[in-house]
Amino acid sequence: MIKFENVTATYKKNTGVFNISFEVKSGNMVFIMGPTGAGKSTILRTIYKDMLVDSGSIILDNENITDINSNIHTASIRRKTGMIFQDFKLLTNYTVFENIALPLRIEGYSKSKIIDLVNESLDKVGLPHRQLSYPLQLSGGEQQRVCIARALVNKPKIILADEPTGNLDPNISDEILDLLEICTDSGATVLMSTHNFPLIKPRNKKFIELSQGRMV
Amino acid sequence: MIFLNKFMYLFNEGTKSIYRAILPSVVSSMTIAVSLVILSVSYIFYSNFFYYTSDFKNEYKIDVFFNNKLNLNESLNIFNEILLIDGVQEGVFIDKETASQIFKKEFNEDILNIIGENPLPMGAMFGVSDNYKNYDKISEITKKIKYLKDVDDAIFPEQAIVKFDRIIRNLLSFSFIIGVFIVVLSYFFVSNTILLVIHSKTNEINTMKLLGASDIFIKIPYIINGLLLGLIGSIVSCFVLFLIYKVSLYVILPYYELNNFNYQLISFLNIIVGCLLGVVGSSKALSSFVKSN
Repeated sequence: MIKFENVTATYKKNTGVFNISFEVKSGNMVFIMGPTGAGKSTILRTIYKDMLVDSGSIILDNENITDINSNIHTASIRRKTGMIFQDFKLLTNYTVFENIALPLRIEGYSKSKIIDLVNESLDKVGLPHRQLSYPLQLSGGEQQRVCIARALVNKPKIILADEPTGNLDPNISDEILDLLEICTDSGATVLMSTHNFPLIKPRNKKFIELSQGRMV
Repeated sequence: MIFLNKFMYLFNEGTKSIYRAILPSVVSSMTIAVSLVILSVSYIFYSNFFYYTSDFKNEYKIDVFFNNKLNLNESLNIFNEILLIDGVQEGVFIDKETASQIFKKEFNEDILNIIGENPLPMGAMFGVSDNYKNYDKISEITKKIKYLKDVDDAIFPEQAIVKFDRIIRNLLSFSFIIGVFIVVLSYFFVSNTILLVIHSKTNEINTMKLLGASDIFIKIPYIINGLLLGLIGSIVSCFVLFLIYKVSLYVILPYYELNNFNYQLISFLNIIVGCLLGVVGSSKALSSFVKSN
């Protein structure tokens, strides 16, 4: 589902990731582990085309996306991918419902379909009673659940989670991981970055360890 | 269906962004309204000024004096020749007798009584067509007439026309500069107001991009927003113009009749210009935002 072959992607100061190769099979959940600045987010950014690679190739759902850099193609890749962020990236002047509905609006779903899918997604993350609230009225854990609901709403095959538990306390972090694990039951592939090894250790999942941009 | 769903959503977003940023929206709309009112009033004033000055322009005449040795037929031939010159619209032939009557009228003296004979040459007075009622063109025609054989002299009220033309030209330039200034000012107001709104939504725009929104999906609500601001501004301007018109009926009408005031046409033009200002202003803001990001 996600395949990196000798990928190098660098920033101006010659930092980034170097010669990265790994493969995540369909329906699996894989962690990218490492300290701050190790290159975890860079790997995710190369997948959702927020950054171009210098060399190597990236295969996503049987499509080579390495050289894609047009806005239209980038948008289309992002629409196929569910994304979860450490800082949630929720729109504060939109309700929970509107935030979750956004990917569906972008795809042009009908109103009735949007209502069904958003409600389904809210049920999955356990927040059906919060649909009319605004993000700033929610706790950090609830905001991250909304972010996950938004990532799941159009049933993507791939979910990328960039430090989704970074701002949350350990109990809530565990709940978030449970939610992401449930996603793999329906066939989604999850790639999650984290620096919190104790959090992922009990999960017994494959992880990729990074240090200074290289695989350890 | 997908297109319609998207369009409905984007149109809704464009509308909502008016009350999400109510103060900048009011400022933009009112700027457009004030600009359109000033432009319309300037236009009405300008066109009425021209209407009332057209009477004066009817006095743009060329007086021609033929050679005194010519007989009536020869003079009539030259008269007809002059009528064929481009820009000459009409002419009145003046024979010796009419000339002496004009002399009598002007100086209150009979020339026959003064010198015992009529020494006045035959001549004519020519009017020019509307396109030629300015200093350059009328003096060009006058020169052509002067160069004709058997024409002694051809004159026109040079000083008055020069002065009048200068007034018209200054007024025209002044109106044009003011008009351009107002349009540019409201264009910058609209574009900067929308730019402020867009900048305040940088995070929102970036998030939408990360979720797969295309550039056009992000831009359309702002363009619709600009269009609606322009529309609101122009509707306000139409309403204000209507009030001005009603008030002017009491204030101006006893002295002057307003001409060239087609309310429907001016309203229609205001709406077109207002919407255009809104759309162009928001497009400019979007392109500035894209450049700075």
